[in-house]
Amino acid sequence: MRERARFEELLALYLDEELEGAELAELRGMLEARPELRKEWAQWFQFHRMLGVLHGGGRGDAFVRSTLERLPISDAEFSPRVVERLRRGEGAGRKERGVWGWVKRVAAPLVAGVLLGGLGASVVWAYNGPRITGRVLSEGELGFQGFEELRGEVPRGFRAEVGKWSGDPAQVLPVDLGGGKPGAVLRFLRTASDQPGQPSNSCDVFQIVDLRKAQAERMGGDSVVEFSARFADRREPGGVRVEMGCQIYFFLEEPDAIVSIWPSQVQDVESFVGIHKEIPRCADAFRWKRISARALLPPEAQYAVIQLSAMRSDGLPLEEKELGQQYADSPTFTVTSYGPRTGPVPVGNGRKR
Amino acid sequence: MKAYQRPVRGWVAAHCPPGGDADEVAQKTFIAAYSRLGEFQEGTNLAAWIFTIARYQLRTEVTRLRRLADYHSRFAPDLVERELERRVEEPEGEVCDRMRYLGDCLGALGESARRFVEWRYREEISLEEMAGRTGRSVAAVKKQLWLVRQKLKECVDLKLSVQGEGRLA
Repeated sequence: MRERARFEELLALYLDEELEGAELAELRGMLEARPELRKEWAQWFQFHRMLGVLHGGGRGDAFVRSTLERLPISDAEFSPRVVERLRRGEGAGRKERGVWGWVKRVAAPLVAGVLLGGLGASVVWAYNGPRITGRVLSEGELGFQGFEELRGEVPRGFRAEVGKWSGDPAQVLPVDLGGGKPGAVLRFLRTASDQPGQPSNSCDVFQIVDLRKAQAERMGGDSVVEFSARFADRREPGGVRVEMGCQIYFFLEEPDAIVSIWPSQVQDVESFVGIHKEIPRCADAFRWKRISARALLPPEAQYAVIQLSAMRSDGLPLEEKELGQQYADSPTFTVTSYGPRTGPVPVGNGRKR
Repeated sequence: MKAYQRPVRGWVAAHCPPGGDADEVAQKTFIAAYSRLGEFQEGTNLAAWIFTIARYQLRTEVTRLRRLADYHSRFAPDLVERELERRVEEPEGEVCDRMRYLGDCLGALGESARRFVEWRYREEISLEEMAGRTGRSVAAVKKQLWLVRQKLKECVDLKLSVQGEGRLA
């Protein structure tokens, strides 16, 4: 009976995110020893998560909006087009031609913003299906660097060098990743405006990566670019809403040319690959949340600028006092090349099981 | 998507292990469904097809989490994760029923109890802030939240058992 009460106490602490140290070990011990408690824990965990989804109020609408933004066509066109295709018995499967129909050329001939549509999904699909033909290029092959080689202040401005971080005021700090394993995190410090007197709503750091090897090693099908990092917000509750995330811009020309148009012409890009989210705050510890941006690699792209940002959600200027407790960690950049599609992936035909 | 967002998000959230991004998985599910809509056979079960996609997306997320070095140092004992994984293979209908009944039970809560749920799950405010707002101690707030959850769970379980008896009859 006493153990039962204690289990409930620990469970309640877990659901309220207050379980720490010895209590964590105690709950773990209970779960290891008692299979029936594992089942009960899972039931409560599921109940808690469902409550979060159900009671999220307007988040359901936000979820739909956000998903539609990631689809290749506009909200207004989406449903009628799907319905029309179903009516005609065509389905709405993504066509290669359609993907490039969504590519928007913007601002200057040098810049190509590519909408993220079903692209990320096609990658995930390829991993899951039996057709695992992807070849992954990463880090050195693309000139990409994480934070390991960098300590202290991030160089200001925009460096025309592949694999070098630069940008707004930020710093890279050493951290212990656990078990004595050294690591490094990026700390967003302040915004910096490109135009005097005009305050900015974001702190951004950038890096140029080299896509030429990825282009040379295409395997006849899609190549998918993924830029990903973990983010944490260690502010106390209160203050303005700040989102963090990743962006990818594709370029046709050399780094010098990119720097010459950055950011004035890039600011006009209407459709770039980017995803930003508000991270649940935790002042006491790094509570990381991974965010990934993905896109098909445009056949003409030679370089990309990848950007990590912390920005005010409502677009208003972000004051210095609101920054300094936002962090990014473990950035990764990969290009996965696939062979030609050979047919549908057997993921179930929709028949009732 | 509007029709399916809640059941799919609910199902993914219920099975996504701690540390996983349930909404990201749910979004990928819809994006994949759109991309593969040409492969859906009209006249078959669209919901079952979408949930099949959700299962694949969730497996990918679980695989990704396993690769994270610090994941197990937070809170995801293997055995608990396995318990959630086992449930992934169960029919999605029960989770959908649970979601539906949970909505009903929430609606039936008294104003005071519902306020705690809103603070916790909609506004995500801290226990300390809840205590400040109600003039109670943090311990009392914790207890109140637990009681409300228990009440809701009992309500849902009762509705499920009544439904089960109805089917048997």
